[in-house]
Amino acid sequence: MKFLTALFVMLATTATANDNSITLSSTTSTQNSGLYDYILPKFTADTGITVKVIAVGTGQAIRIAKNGDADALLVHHRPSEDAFVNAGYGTQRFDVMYNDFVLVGPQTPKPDLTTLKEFFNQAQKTGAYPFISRGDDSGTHKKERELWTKYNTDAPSGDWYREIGSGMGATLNMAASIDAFTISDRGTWLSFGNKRNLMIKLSGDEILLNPYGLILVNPEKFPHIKAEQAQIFANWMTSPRGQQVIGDFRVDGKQLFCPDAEKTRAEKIVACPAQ
Amino acid sequence: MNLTFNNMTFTADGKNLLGPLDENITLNGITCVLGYNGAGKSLFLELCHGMLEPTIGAVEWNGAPAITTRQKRGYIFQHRITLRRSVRQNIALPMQAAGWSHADINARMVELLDMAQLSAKSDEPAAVLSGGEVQRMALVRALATRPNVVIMDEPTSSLDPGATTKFENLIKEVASLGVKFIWATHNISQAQRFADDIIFISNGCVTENTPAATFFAQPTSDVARAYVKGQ
Amino acid sequence: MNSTFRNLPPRARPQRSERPVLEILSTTLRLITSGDATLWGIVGLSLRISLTATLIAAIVAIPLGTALSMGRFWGRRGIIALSSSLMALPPVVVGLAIYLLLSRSGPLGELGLLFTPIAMIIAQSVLIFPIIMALTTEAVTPIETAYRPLLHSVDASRWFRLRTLIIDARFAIFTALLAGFGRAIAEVGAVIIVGGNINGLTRVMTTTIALETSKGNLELAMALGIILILLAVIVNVFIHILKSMGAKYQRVSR
Repeated sequence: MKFLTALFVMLATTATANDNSITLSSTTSTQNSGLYDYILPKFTADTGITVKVIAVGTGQAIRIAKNGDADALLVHHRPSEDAFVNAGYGTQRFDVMYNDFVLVGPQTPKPDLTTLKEFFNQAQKTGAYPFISRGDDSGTHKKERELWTKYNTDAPSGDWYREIGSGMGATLNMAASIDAFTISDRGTWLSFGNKRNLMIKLSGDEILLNPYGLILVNPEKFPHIKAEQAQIFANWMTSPRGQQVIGDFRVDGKQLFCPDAEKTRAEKIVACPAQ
Repeated sequence: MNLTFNNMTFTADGKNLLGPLDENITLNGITCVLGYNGAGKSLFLELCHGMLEPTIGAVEWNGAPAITTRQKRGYIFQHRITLRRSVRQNIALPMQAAGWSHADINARMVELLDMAQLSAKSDEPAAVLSGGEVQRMALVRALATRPNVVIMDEPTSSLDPGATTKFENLIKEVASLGVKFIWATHNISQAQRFADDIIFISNGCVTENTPAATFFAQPTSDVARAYVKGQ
Repeated sequence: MNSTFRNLPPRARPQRSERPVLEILSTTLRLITSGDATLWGIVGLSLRISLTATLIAAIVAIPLGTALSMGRFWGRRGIIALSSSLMALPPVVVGLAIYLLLSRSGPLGELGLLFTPIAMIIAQSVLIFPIIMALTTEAVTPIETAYRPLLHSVDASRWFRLRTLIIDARFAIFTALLAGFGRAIAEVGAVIIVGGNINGLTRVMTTTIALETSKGNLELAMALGIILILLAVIVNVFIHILKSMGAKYQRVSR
């Protein structure tokens, strides 16, 4: 019995031994786009620090950071990010990058939709466009609700509108299998492997912009936080080098994320996304 | 070898099954326990061995309570109980339970297997033994830790005549070594041939506790008389 | 196709397959033969975690399950109640409970075990412990009933009886272990919450399947599923060989 306890403690402490790494709490859409697989090895090569990414829904990502289970938080919902910092869980928030949301839908011929207003209005009025909503309070879901309320007075309801309470992947899978519309972030969409009949129907509006924020978790609240290494990560992500790497990431030849750190914005020359 | 029942009563489900008993039993060799089915023979044997605790009173061997001294005696059940192991491992059980060392067990095993004439089958699964072989194995298993008393509950009732004879020969051999037996049997011929003393049980009471000669010549109770006559 | 397996031999961009089954089978074959280090790392981790969890759960569950068959003791009812409730819980709930325990904000946060393979082992051990215990009790009970008079007649101690029963019931207990292992290696709800599905650290077969599905890489996910099944079959076969090796004494007469 004593031996088992000793073994357990030994295993436990090796798990927490000071390896040179930080834990980053982020979202599945960011992870699934493939961005981290591209940029993080470069970060590790530059600094020697490994980044362990926990990719979950936005709500869960924030909760994990609030529990002190991560050293840094990278999500894309400004109100939540600000609340996080204001409540004292985060020390600082950095602009990092943005991408955009797109409206995807089936290729089958439908009356030409040229504006978001047309679509969201028609969808609610006629109920002719089956729509899948993530329904999980994620950044994407909140953006989608924002679009409905902008162009309508009532919330969407009816058989044509399905709230499935799932991540982006599951939502796209369902939309693909029943030829429905949905809002997706471009990153997930471009790298999604089951597109079937779906294509981008509308994109480009400013309201569809999706900015990302990187927040350092407050070491005063959680003394074990690897604050130094997390700071190095934040510095790198907002540095010219990091920003360049982010901008260089391509899926099928298309740029997914536009570097948007404060410094970059100040000197913005390069058009984004690159065509 | 003194077996005492001190004001002993055994009840279950509110029914008095055996007793009250106040008996002093001296074991002189082979003591056979006779009685009709349901009279309480098996119960009696289990109480003797300390497998059951009396509701009132006590069962004692030379002053020590039966329930705490089981390892000093051997017991053979009516139905075959074997471990899902080899013959050798079955016989080893009481010695292992008593904490004997491997060396001691192995040494003792040779003579036990020999006595039971099972040396050739020592590594066979006990499950393949015939009825007679199993009971011989059970007997040497009961003798493994060198007890002075072996208690047997109708050990030959399911054996054919040939196997019965072999078993009885083994009893003779063991008895000649000085081991005492308490032996419940239905076989009156067996009792007549082997018993030094008879205990007769009827309706939860010990009605006779006499030398065999006396019992068979002149059973005192009507029940016993009827039993001996085969009625 | 943006997938976890970079060394997968390249092929044309996956079209909507005319023959999806063929597509899945060919992906499975390519995966297995590609010798992809990522794949085998994931397989290795899955096995390590689930086998360890089975071992840990067994150490507690087998003696407890045997003791349960042996009759009343203090806490017996409580253990049975706890085990039945645990068995009724979906894995994701078990994972959540352990997350709350191991989180930095939780009671065991100091141990820093969250998002490590150890956390996953803990979660799976808790998950499969009730099954192994219940099946052990079921395996041991007939033997206990048969042996009880004999063991009682030789005044065997409680420990001796426990050991004797476990040894003689070992083959049925192996089956219980197999059932536990099967549940462990096939579950995803618990390990994904306490492990975090971290690339290269806490990513196992089931969480990879979930991930690839969420990326829409359905054929790849299915191929991984087939590999998982093959894994389970191999372990199964191994256990059966073990069982047949020692079956000689398991025969029961009449």
